[in-house]
Amino acid sequence: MTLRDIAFGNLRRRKGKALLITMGLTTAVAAFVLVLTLILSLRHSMDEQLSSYGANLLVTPPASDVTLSYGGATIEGAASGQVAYLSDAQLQAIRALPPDQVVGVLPILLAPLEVEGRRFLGLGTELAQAEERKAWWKVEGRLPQKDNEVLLGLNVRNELGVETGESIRVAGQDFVVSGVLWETGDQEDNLILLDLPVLQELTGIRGRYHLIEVTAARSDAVEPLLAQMTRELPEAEVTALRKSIEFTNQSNKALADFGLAITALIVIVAGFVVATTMLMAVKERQKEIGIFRAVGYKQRHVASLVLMEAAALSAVAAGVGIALGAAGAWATPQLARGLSLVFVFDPLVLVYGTLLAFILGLTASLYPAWRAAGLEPSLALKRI
Amino acid sequence: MALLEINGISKVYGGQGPGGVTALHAVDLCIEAGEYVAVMGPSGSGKTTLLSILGAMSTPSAGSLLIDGIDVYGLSQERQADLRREYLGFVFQGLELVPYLTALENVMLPLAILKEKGKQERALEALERVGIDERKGGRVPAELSGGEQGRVAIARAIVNDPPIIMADEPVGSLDSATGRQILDLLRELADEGRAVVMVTHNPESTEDVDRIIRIRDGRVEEDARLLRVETQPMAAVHTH
Repeated sequence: MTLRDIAFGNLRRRKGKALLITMGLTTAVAAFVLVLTLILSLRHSMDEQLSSYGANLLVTPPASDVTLSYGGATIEGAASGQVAYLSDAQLQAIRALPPDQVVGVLPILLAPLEVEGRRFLGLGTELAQAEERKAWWKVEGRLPQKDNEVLLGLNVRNELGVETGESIRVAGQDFVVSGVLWETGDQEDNLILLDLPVLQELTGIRGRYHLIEVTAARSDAVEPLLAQMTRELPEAEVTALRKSIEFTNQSNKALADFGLAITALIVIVAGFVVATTMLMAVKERQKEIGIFRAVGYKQRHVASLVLMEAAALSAVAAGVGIALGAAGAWATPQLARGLSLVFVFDPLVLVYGTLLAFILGLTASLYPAWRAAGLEPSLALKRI
Repeated sequence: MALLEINGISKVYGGQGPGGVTALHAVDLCIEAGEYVAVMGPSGSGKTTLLSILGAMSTPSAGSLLIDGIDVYGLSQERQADLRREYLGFVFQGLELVPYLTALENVMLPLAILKEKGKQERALEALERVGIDERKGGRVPAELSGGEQGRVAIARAIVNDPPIIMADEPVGSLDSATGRQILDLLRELADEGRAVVMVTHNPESTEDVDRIIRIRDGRVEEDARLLRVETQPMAAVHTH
């Protein structure tokens, strides 16, 4: 027989207290696992949504005098008449970036277009991908699917007084209005949008672009991508659109801080429950501990008994707490569909949850173990 | 050299000031190997305090305790624990068997902290010595009779083969017949050469003892060695 047998035997005898301690530890572990997993899931979901709210990086030619611009790109340049473009090689270099870091690459060509005696800015790009990346785009009608179709910004439609399906003459060629982009409140309202090959054909500008919009896969990938693209594209300017990233990062951090603060509170309360219950158990066992001391047990033996009991209960709490916390995190997206959460489980959470159970259980038991070890052997003779 | 020797032992609870209670006043005693001693006295007389000091469980306010020539209270707490394990076996009031351990495990209790082989065999030998069958060793105390529990308690006290046995009201909770069995066992242990010190308030428990020490108000009032013969004690030799 060993001290471990005595420790486990005591737990079997005092099931009520063992259960109370285990429940305290389990609650702390479950809360920790739940909050941590929800934070990871929320971060993942917000990053996914981030990629549908437009670019977070812009690649433009080196800056020069600007007379007409879109998103920081030059349309008509300096007095020398030279307009800087990005090349196909630069576009391909961006497309070669790892897909786990970059989810969208949108080359953009801009050109002034004459329509019925008036000048508008034409934008050529991969319209299908653009619609996917820009969740605020609402199209009345549809995107252009043929070479003779255009999409009009709302202000352009209003100025021209045309409706979907009608014909207009753009840069001397006939086009059909396939759809109208509803008000965005941004420059797109003033654009005529065409598929990239169509504008390239109209302008004769092929293999060159005014800017390239890049969408990072995650908010924390933006800065590394910025650094990498700046290194690999020395002939271009790379800018991070930090506004939405910062908002996402701050939202993530605020939620994480709140969640962790609540968890810390639960862990502290659980620690008090464990310590108090252990102390009560030590008080109940005073005579028994006195007998242990009387038959030759040293203080460290008595302390070991208490800590072994705590370790055993911590092991149980780790298993049950992790399972409950993970189940709660899995159930939350099902119950709160409005949050658009995707359940993401990191195996490291198993390690963190187990460590928390043992650290909390053993730390909360240190004082009770010390009190037990300090009990005098003469308690064995105490009259009841 | 006496096996147990106390010189000028005093014990004051609650400090030396006016609030302090003196449980023992300068007590001197020697107990030899093979002596079966009963310590008697009314409640509050100091007999339990004396037992705790003799058992190296409570540091006196003054005086010394020598066990086999070793100054017990000059040792560290750790060494005192070792000494209790090596020299002393205890039978507690109410027996105090651990309810969640079997009889065999209760007997092995003093051995649980040792990293030795053969612990179970030693425990089985101790149970056999007190007349407990090996089969009953697997039962918890609640499944044993009062007499069997008393025997298990004695087996636990002798499993380390200590030269001194301390018994605190060992038969207080037992009926007279069962108590007689326990007292007979204690007599046998003394006959084997161990010093047996028993605290009791019941005169009937002292029929087989070699010596009675009466304590009152923390002082030894009487210390009588009894001459034992086969049938009954014939005379008391007063040494105090």
